[in-house]
Amino acid sequence: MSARNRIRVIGAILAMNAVLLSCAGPRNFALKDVDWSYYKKVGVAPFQNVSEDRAAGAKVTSAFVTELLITRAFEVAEPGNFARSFSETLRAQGTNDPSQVSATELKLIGDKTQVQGIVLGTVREYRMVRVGQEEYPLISIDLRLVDAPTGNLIWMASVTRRGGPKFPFVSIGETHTLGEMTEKVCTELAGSLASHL
Amino acid sequence: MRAFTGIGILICGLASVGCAPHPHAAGQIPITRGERLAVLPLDNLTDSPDASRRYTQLLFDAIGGRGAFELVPLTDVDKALAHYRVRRTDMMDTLTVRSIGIDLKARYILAGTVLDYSEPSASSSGQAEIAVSIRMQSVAGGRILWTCMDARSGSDGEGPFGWGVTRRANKLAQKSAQQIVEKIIAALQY
Repeated sequence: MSARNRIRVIGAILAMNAVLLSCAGPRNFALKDVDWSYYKKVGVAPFQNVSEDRAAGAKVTSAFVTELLITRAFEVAEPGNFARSFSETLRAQGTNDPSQVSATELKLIGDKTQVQGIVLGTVREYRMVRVGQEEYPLISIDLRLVDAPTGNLIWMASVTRRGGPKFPFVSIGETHTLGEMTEKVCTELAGSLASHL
Repeated sequence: MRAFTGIGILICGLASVGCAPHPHAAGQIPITRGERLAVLPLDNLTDSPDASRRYTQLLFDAIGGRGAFELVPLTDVDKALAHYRVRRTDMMDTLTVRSIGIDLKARYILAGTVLDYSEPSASSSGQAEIAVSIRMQSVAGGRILWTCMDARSGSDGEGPFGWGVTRRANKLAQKSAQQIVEKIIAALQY
């Protein structure tokens, strides 16, 4: 292989790699034979936070609600109303942990807030990590949509993103901050959920 | 040579796809010119205690500068929030939004959250960063009419050798607030 051809092959491999990295969506599961048109209005529960950043749950919830509204795929329950109903139901159950909410409680919340689906989420990682000389954001989120009347899982997605360099030697396409990475990840997740409609 | 050019074009294309336009917004606001708008203090989820006050003031000034709304003075908004004992505006239910709106004679409220607001210390390298989510709600029905997310870092406009990096969060926030207001004005339906 000539030197020119070798350069072409290396360039093509790098470019393909970058395309694959930049286009990989969140890994997701969607229940088969679901009538998605039923889910006209959804509520987003405050995300559970198991990361080191104590505000990460609230930050990601706020960003995700905004991105879900931007997709216009669903009507989204007014966040203040929904969060209040959700918290009140959890308190009545004697817990603060959103993962402990039962199907009965989900039905109750759904009836109270007039939503057909409820989005529950967990923020697993939300921090800066060192890559070489630089620090980049690392975010990991799990989301699921449950059917409010039955509590059945309808859709689930998981995404982990690190804002490291995409190309060797050049810094284009890098994500430097947690805010930018939050926006990107929430856009991906909201888009993935909205794509079922 | 052609191979290098092709790779260069591909990289530029990918970079432009990767760089989402700021800010990211959707919605339309039915309005007649000069409607009254209350800008609520944004919730502050950052480690910077002044972030909310600074960004809210920048947003208020940027909207005021466009003359599309009659703005409720921020001191009146603060008094109303204190009266209704509202600490976090993102946790307000529609009934509270309505009550505050009626008290302030406002037809719309602008609320949101500051997610990030930081800048490097004088002795360290790095860039400023801010992230906000903003929404406009109608007082009458509590519906969210328009919403927007804006996250940016001071290195967004970085050129060769680190030129163009913004290290001051206020400068970045000012640019963000102005561009968000541009989006609001573009969403108005007279």
